[in-house]
Amino acid sequence: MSEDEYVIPSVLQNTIKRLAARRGVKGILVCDEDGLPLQSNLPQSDAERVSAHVSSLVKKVRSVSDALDHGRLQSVYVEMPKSEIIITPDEAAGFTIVVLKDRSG
Amino acid sequence: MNQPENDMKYINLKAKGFKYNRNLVCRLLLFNRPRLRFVRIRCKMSHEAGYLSQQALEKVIESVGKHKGVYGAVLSDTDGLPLQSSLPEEDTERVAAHVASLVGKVRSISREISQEEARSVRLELEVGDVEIIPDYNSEIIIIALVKRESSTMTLTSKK
Repeated sequence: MSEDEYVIPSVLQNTIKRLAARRGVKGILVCDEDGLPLQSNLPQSDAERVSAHVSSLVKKVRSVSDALDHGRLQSVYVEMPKSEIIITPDEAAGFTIVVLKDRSG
Repeated sequence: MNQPENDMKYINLKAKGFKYNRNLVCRLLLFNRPRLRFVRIRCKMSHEAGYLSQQALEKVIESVGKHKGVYGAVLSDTDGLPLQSSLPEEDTERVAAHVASLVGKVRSISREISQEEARSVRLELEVGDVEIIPDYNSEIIIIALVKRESSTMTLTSKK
């Protein structure tokens, strides 16, 4: 591992492994607040695309939840006919976990 | 076999034919936690000269409000103009405007990521959930504010 590489805590790494092992999970992605992928089991181009979109969505959701005075954001579920996106941002740690999931599985 | 993700709850609404001058049938499915128990509501909305009648909108709000934990419901169009609501007026406008802009964003993102239209969006917040059911055909958004059992706070109370 090179020195400038981001080191993911082992707890998080275990979590990612556990999540990836679950049925129906198509992909896991951990990205930072700027929309850069930190760790992912998706192809690089997909990971970059998804993390950029997700981070912009999280920003939007944060502004909505602030405006609505609903407290801290815990997670966002986007359900589509065939798949599902589960976004869990962690403000303190500065990263977001994204799970892409098949609904049928 | 029960899967662990059974604690998910969603409402699904299909409101087709809104743009045509005929009866509009709404189907609402709400999955309640912790068990996958779903309730189906059918309500017919009648059109008068292409507009949804006030009664029909009230009926939708009423049926959404009947669900467990739902203490507020807003029916809005995708531009953020509230059509009908069970919340006070200022809350309604705030909620509708913000959620409508969020729904526009979600649409573009869900298309980009998995080439599908979002069927429902759920925001889990500290004090409760916000369930958003956009319908892009009819350009209607149903927003339900759901309270957590443990929470005593209400989402729209201004500090």
